[in-house]
Amino acid sequence: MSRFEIKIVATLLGIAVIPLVASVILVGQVIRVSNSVAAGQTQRLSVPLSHAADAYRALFVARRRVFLVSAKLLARDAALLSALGSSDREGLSRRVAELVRSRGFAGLGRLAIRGPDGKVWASAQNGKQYPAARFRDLEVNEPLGGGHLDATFYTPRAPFLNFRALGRAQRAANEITTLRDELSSIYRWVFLIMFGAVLLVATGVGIFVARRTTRQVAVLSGAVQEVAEGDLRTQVEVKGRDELADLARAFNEMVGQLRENRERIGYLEKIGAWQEIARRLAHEIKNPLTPIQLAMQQVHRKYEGDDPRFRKMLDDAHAIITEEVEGLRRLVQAFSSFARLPNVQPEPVDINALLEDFFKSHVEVTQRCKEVRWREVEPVVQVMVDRMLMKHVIYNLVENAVQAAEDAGTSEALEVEISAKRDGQRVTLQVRDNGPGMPDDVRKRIFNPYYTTKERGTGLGLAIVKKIVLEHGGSIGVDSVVGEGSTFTIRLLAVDTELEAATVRTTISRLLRDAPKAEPR
Amino acid sequence: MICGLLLAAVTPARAQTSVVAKRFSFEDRGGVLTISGGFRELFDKHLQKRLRSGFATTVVMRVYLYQQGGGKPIVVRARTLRAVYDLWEQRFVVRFEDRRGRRHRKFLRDGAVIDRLTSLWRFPLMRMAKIARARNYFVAAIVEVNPMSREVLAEVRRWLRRPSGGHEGGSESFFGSFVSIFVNNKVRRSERTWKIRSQLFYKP
Ligand SMILES: Nc1ncnc2c1ncn2[C@@H]1O[C@H](COP(=O)(O)OP(=O)(O)O)[C@@H](O)[C@H]1O
Ligand SMILES: [Mg+2]
Repeated sequence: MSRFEIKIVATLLGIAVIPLVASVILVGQVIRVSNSVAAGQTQRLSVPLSHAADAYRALFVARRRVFLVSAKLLARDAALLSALGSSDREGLSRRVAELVRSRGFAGLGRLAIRGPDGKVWASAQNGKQYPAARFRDLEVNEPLGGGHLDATFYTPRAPFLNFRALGRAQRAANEITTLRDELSSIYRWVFLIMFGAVLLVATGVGIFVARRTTRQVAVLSGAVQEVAEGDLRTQVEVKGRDELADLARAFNEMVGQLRENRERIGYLEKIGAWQEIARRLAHEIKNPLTPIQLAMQQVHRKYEGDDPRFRKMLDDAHAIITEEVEGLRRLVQAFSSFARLPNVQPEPVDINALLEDFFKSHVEVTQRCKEVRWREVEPVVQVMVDRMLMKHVIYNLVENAVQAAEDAGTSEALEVEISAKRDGQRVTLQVRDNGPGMPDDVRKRIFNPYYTTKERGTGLGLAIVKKIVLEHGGSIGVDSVVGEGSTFTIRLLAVDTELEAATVRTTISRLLRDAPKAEPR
Repeated sequence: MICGLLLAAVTPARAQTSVVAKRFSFEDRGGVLTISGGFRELFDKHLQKRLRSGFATTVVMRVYLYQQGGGKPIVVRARTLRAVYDLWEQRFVVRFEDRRGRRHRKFLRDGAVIDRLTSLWRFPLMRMAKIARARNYFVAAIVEVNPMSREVLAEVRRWLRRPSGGHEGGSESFFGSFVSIFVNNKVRRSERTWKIRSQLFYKP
């Protein structure tokens, strides 16, 4: 995990966990309070419950003891003993019935006396019904004289049933207490599970979010590295619409501008070097031309011999040298005008007026083909250009189109269209022809100085065009399809206000100042 | 790492009952495999003291016959015993309940009752014919003393689902339903639970 990821995850965890911990503490408190309240209640209940149970137990024991003691008392009854002793069965029966009915012995339901022979000599019931559902009985056996006394006592069943219910209640109370204790541990469990889930989710989400961000940042910083190492073709992929995407977009634009600038500076340097060469060449060639021509003229004029063959040779040589010297002069002319291109002096110019001007002053080139037309730009667009040089640029482009068509023998059908349009901060100027076009290998080299495909070409035209455009802070490019035509596209800075004009002017002058200073490569 | 800590914090929430190893004797009685043996020492002082309270002590035994290495039990037999000291008649009544039906027996001494509650005597497991020869078997038993009544458990679950004690049709609390899942397998369901495992045996 990167530090950034750790930070994000920690923040998310903090946000998620703090309220959870707070609620765990709170719930724990509530559970504890309610438990202790409930525990108090159960306590209050269970103590009397167990007292009640003890009371019932004591009751049962007491009741039993009463019956046992009653039996013992019955066994001491003098009347019974004497009747038994004298084998007075009649008297015995009478006394037994008397005792059972006397109510002196609570719960006594039946009494029987067995003689020494083990047979029942007398028995009696008190006449009441004791159904088993409602009564429990206790049979007590006591020795009586030489015989036995069997007494059956009855006691209501209800207390026993109550006692059982009490037992069940106590059990339930115990069970609920146990359950309650375990429930709080279950609640703790559930909270811990939720806690874990929140922890996992927060960590996952945090890592996801952090990864996405760091990935983009890493891509950007990698790109910055590449640029620092000098690779200005670097571009980063723009994804999404957040600040990082904005950053990526800005980065791409910045690199693009850097690249354009470097190309511009490189090109201007190269052209500068070529200009120097052209200047020297022009100088070196120009100087001997006049003596050569003068010498030839002299030789031609001074010959007075009458050898017709020599005469003819001399005439031919004179014509050839004169023509070649003329050609060289033109070349020198081209070289030195290339070498001494004037500095750009920009001013706000209305594009329409500029083109109108061009059509007035360069009639001859526009008449060498079917049509050269221009579309007026609306609304009026102002550009910051050097009027003279920009006309020269347009002239060069139109002339090239015408020459290319002438060489291909299609100038009769050639149409050239000049158009301009506003495109944000920039103005796009296009010169489009339907001439022969050019293959890719030519197209790539046409802006190089001295590159030409024409017998009498200098290859300087487009080099000059590009130099002028670059010095205006603009750019130039070309599209071409063989057999269909070519389109030259120039981008210039648009000017709407004085302030902008000033800005453009300083941009241009800075460009002009920087270019020659750069180290040649 | 965090999860590990969590688990560690959570696991001891429920005390584990360890398994007690005991020797039992297995017999072929009239073509039926029976088990005999006891675990009287597990019946602790507290339970002994309560025996004469007049309230019932219930013991539920579940006996599982396993083949060694096999997953599921081959047979499950259950027996429920309920011992009550009759405070009136001053003797114990023990109710036996299993596949063969319900029987009552009376005892005077505590020891005799404890014996009955903590032992199996020739308790039939399954027909001998179904036992494979020369294979290892063993018996595991789960014995619960005073298991929680179903009514109480159901009631607790109802409370959890409707913490406000609300009427039928009231909205159930999500949290409560979630918790009640745990009640099913986390809550101790009896006063004592013993897990007992026999030695291995085989049919020669
Ligand atoms: N409109 C065009 N159509 C076809 N080819 C063109 C056109 N413009 C320029 N070219 C090619 O670019 C080359 C360089 O042009 P340029 O620099 O003006 O030098 P030059 O005109 O002296 O040849 C030309 O020789 C020609 O091959
Ligand atoms: Mg040209």
